[in-house]
Amino acid sequence: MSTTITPESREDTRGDSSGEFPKGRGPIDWNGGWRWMFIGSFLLAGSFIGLRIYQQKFAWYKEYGLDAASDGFRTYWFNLFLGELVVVTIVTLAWWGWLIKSGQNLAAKAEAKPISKAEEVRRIAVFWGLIGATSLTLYFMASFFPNQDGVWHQTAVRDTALTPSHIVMFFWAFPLGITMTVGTYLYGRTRLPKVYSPDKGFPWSFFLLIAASVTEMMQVAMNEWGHSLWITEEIFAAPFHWPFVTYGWLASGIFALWAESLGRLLQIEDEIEEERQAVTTSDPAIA
Amino acid sequence: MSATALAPESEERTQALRKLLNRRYTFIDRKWDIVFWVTAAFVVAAAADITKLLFAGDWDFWTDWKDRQWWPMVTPFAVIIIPSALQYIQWLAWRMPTGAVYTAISMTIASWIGRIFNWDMFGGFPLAFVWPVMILAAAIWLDWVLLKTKSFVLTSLVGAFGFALILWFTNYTVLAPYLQPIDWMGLHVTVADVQGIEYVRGQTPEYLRMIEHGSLRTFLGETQYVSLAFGATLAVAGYWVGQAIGRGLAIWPIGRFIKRF
Amino acid sequence: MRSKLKYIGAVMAAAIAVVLALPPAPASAHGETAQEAFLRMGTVAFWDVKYSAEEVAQGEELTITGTAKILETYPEQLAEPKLGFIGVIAPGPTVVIKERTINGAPAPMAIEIEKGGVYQFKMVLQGRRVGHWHIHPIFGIHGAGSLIGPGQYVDVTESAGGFTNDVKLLSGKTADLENIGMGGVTFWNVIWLVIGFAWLLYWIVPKPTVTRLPVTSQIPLNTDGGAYGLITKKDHRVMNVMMGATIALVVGGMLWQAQAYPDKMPQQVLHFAPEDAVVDAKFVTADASEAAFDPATDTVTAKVTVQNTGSSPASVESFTTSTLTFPVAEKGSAERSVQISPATPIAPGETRELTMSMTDAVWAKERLMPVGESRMQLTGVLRLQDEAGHENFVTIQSFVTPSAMA
Repeated sequence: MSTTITPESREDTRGDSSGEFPKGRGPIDWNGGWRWMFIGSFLLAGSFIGLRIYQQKFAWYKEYGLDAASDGFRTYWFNLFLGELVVVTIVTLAWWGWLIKSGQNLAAKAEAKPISKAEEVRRIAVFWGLIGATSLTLYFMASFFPNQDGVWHQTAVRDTALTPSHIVMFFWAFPLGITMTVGTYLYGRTRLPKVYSPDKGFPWSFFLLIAASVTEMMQVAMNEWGHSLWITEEIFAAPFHWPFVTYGWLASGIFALWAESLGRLLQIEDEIEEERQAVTTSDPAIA
Repeated sequence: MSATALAPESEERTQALRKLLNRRYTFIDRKWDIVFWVTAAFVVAAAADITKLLFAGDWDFWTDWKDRQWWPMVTPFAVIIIPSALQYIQWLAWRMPTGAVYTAISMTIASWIGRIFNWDMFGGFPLAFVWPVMILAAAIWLDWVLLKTKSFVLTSLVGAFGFALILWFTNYTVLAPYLQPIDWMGLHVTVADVQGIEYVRGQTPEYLRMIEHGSLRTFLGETQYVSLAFGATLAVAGYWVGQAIGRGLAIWPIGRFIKRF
Repeated sequence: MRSKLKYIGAVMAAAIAVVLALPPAPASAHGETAQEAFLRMGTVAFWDVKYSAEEVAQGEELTITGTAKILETYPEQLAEPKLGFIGVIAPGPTVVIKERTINGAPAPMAIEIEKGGVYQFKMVLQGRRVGHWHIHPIFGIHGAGSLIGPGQYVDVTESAGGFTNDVKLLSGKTADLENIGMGGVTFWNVIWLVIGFAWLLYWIVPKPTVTRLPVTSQIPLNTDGGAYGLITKKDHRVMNVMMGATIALVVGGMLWQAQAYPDKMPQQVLHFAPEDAVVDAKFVTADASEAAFDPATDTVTAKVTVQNTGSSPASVESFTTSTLTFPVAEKGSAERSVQISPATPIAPGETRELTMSMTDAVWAKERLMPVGESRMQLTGVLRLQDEAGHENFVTIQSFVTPSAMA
């Protein structure tokens, strides 16, 4: 580890100085590497907040969500359920497909000409942005919508597996959890080979995080089966609901992602430092 | 000049690590810190809130569930798990005694968003009936104990025990007005009971309340203290559940790969 | 490509606009139609449910009265009924319950119940949230959940000053249940958030975070890294002060509440078994022998053997099942009725086989015929009256054949 860069030289050396990126769009600029964090979070939060407003308008006060046997329910809720499944499937497959396909192209290009350190840093920033967007999704999955679901079920009769609170939480937020966790992995695998290249194996960090989102979706099935069978009363803390917690805990794997990518970032800094040292010591003018 | 290569305790190594702490980087600026602290708050809030809701949700939702026998027992266990995990993560990675406070802030904000936007604005329940537990004072204690002892074993014993007690004291302060007696059709009940009677919650009939019902005990009315003590011991157990999460699920996987699938 | 996307977008927007612009009829049920019909019919029957008003202002009173009976046929697959709760179900607390009596006694909470028990209830509600709300009485039975009674729309209109829920405490003070204690809740949450943020920001603002990892990864866990500048003596001092302030506030809060609210008691659990409802002496028995449902005509028919054991001629007044009551054809509204044949009164001592027939789309609409369920059974309460005006409510039950009766 080297500590030869002085504070005075900091301004000159911070960030990308290669001219590879347009001004303001560098690897560590808010509008550069971090841009996708804002875009992803905005889209996700927008969809969640939009659906929450829809619930406010069409679930309760207009009553279309209160009776699953009614026409209004079919129009406003069952159609939304189908729409969500279609949209989430298309969005997910399109994004994953694009990540894989373009990742193959990037890998082919990288074989011809290895990517710059600045580009790798930019990718790590995008990766952190995706982790952030995943984290935001997990919040809506595990805190915001469960509160909404709680107040719904402790008040209204549970008359279908597809209550309006479930339609939004279980069939929009939960699948998006899988979209985000797997998508983030595909990004890492295709864009950050030094951290997640396939020949290293499958990272435990992602295994746990993806397992979190997948077990959550599976728990939905158990939840509905149980409610259809013997749980007629709405105790939120019922032992039967406890398995939902596993995903909150498994999601801790997200911290390992930050650590793994930060490790690579620090490594890049060391490599830059070594290169700079080599230049400094070999430059006769400086020596 | 790798610090690891130097003998531990040596002055040279100390100086090397000091320098390393103040090193200047090319690409690492404060944005990485900001992004980490802000974006991690969401997943931390998620884990902490869902753990609280699933283990102690009903006691957290309603004032008429916040009794002296069950509430002080289940709540500390439920709300110490994720602060414990974050303590381990943040102490190990950043050497900051902030895990519990960070979790508590994240969860407090998430809980209030849940109550305001869903319980109040959607369900229509007054916030005075559905306010969530406050864990910040207890979290400050937990982080302070870790800072002072630098030991997770001691923090689990002293910290978690105190965590449960401080949790009770701070929340009892807020609960007090709801325990005032009131006359309801000639019967004496508490303000909290009347809230439970008056504000209709169709699927949560009163008989579901898991609160002190009486049991022919011979404890001279010491229910409160027995529950507090047991709640505190459960908090110790909860602390280690959190440690298992922090150690096993957040830290252990770093850099580990499944070779064969 | 772009124009194609625009086209798809326009079509989707138009479809959404159409869906949102055509509101279908609002639901008049609260999900009870999803419960199995044979269980709805066989558990609790509601009759004489009356609402004193269809429109109330915020804070204005509305009374719901009625009778609910836990039928003798309460099915084996649900836990034995021991604890029950009569309340209302609505989209949240759109109304508040100000009074509740069951068989004449104040019943704030759950009651002890039994099979065959008759519970005459009266609930005084107050309008709370402005809107058009569908409200039902419910009978929650531990182990079975909430069983729903006949509902009605109630309009809650705005009153000047909105809704307040003032109650008189035993101490003589008045409090508004809408916001009681919120001063303390807000004050303490803000205090703890301020201290919590101060604690957190003390660490994360002046000190870089992620660049501490190269150092922390090289030192043992049980050290504060003071030698390397990770945690300084000053940090310890500041944290000690904040901890001291926290403890002082915790103690201060406890002392404050003891002063401010000296009279406190634990939450009360006032369960009791209500006195039996006052009912007329038994003068009739009834037994259903067969029942059938013809889906083509929405007709339910049943054969019932009635024996008049009293001293006055008796006739059938109505048949009640779940939330529905079918008055006899001559007395009922055109909306819903039961045909009884022969229709003449049953003389004292006479035993007669009656045929009941109810043709009504409600069987299908409310999903109340258990065709396709795991037990096809009709259960309900036959209301009979003698000439002196005495009434008997007799539970009858029979398996159902889902076709026209031969």
